[in-house]
Amino acid sequence: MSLVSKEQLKNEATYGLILLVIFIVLFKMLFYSESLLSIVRVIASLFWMSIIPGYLLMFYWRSKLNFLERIIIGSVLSMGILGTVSYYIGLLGLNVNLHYLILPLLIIACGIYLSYISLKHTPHKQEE
Amino acid sequence: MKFPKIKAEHIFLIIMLTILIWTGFANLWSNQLTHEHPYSYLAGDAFQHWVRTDGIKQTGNYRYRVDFQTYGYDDVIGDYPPILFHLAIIFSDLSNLPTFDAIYFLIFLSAILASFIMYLIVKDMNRHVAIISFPFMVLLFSGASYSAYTWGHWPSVMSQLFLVGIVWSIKNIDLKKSYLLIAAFFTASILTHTSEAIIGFFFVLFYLAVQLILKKDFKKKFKTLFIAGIISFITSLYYLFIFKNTWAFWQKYQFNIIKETGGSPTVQFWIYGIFSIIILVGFLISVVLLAQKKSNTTILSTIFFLVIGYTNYIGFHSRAFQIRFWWPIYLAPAIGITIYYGLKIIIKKWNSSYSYGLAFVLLLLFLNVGGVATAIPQIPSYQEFSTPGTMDPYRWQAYQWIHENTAQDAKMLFLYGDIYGQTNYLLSIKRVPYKIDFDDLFTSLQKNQSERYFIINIYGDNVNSYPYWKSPFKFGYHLRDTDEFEHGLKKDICDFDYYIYDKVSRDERLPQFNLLLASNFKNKGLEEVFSNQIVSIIKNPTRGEPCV
Repeated sequence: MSLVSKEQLKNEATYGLILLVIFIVLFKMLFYSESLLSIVRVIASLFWMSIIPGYLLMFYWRSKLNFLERIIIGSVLSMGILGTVSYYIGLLGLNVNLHYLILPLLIIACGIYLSYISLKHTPHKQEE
Repeated sequence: MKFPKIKAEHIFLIIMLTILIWTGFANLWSNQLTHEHPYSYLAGDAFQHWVRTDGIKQTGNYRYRVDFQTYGYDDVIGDYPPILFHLAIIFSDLSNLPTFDAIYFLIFLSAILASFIMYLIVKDMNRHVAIISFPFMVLLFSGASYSAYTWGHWPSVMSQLFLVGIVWSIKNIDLKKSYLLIAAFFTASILTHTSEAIIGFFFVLFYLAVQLILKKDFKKKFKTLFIAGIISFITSLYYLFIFKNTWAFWQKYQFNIIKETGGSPTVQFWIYGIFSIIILVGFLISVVLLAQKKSNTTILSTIFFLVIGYTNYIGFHSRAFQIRFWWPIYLAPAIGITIYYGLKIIIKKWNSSYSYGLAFVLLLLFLNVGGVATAIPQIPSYQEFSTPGTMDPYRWQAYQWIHENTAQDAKMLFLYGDIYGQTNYLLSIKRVPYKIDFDDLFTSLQKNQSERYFIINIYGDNVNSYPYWKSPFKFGYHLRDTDEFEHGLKKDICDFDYYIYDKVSRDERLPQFNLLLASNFKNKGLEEVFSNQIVSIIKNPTRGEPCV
């Protein structure tokens, strides 16, 4: 992995954390009757099932799309893939009540693998 | 590690996100995420989708529909596009929100995400147009558009999120392997609410036609879209086969013209008042730009979604009206185009502060801050609205009691209740519901106080006549095989295990009929097993024996 990519990953991890904090603060402000713990759990769920897998799936296109665009599109993409896989895996016999843990993990693993492959095959020039 | 430099755009987007959540569901939900019962559900369709979600959760998959939704049949094929329900279960399991809140949350999230994607699409054409356009999207949560959420057009809403995803990915068709993105969004749209995927297909045709006419890399783009089409066809093949033999079989295309949806509020173009004219001007500018061969995805989508909203005149029925619910997203670019290019004639040196300033003014208008929108005629605006909806804690308590204390196959009869006309609502008890015909109840009891036979109908999620597998590739339809469940027939009121009735009503006379029947039941030894301020439940331990 090149230095540029490592640096980009580090920076984007920071952006992700900032986003997490913004979401929690915003939701607590708007849903003030809800407990903080409950809000943290809801936001963490969104990150687990949608934002993190989406970010990793979109990392492949990092040189063409900025962080914000990848996060927004990635979240929707991840929801689409998660729902599709959940339907078919459910038909194959894996109870839907187990999907919340297994499937986002599976998509995250795929995302990490694809990111790794794309980093491995990307010349430094393009990343810069 | 680098802390990001804060830009005006970041602050603008955070403000927009806050406003969209606030107008979308923070107000509606009384600033709470978790509720005791289905909250802000204003129509039967909302209950239908939530009950379907719980049905899938109960069965563990969507191979078959849950039997309490299907008159007790346990082999009815899961024929509704499934993604929304699966996502709701996953989100509910993760977040600990009840399924009825989780599914609703995802619907609002879909609308908000789609607004942001549209912002990105327009930004690619012109950043200033994108900024000026964004405030109009607040109207997603006002007037007739709001019924998309509160009345339960949920699968269509989520599928339109994927449709906007399709438009975005076509804008980025030159990305390496963009066919993967297009295919993923198409598959998701097919499996969430198929009609939006069909509209997406028409958009692709429109896009390709324009590329062909303008000679813009047509072959390359056609190849990418063709590959995407093949992939999404393969990934949705199983469901498409079900769709072909259910929805496409029972709801064949028929040409007819309807001007309004029968059941829910209709978005009409002129509800945006003075902004309808601005949209129209933006639409005309888009057409002119297209004619001048200055096409881009924003222009194409603005033209396309205004036109597609009028396909109710060529037989698209409610599907056209469902697209109109999201006109504040699809047509927002037309607002930005008109205002920006109009002012650009006067102000030659445009800078970002003008765009943000205009966006701020538009936000004040659309949010009706200080009553400014109501003071000026013909300005559409958001109106604060909050409601618990049609469910209340008392009925919910009764239905939970039924769910926890009655046998799965218990026969339940609803007597009179103000809300029981919304028959999808009855499925909240998660047992096969029967309902007495109200008119027949009133007339029969007035004639004979100990009448035993009434018009009683069974209810369920009875779309597509309950399809089942006759053989691996052949479908049968339960409701075509039997007339056992025909509505309008007199049935024995004593042939039920439980009776559910309301003790209060908007019309004080109506519950008297319930109380008369209840007193007859009690005289025959039937026992009241549940009661609160609103609902009573009577148990019949000797089903079939004389009870009145």
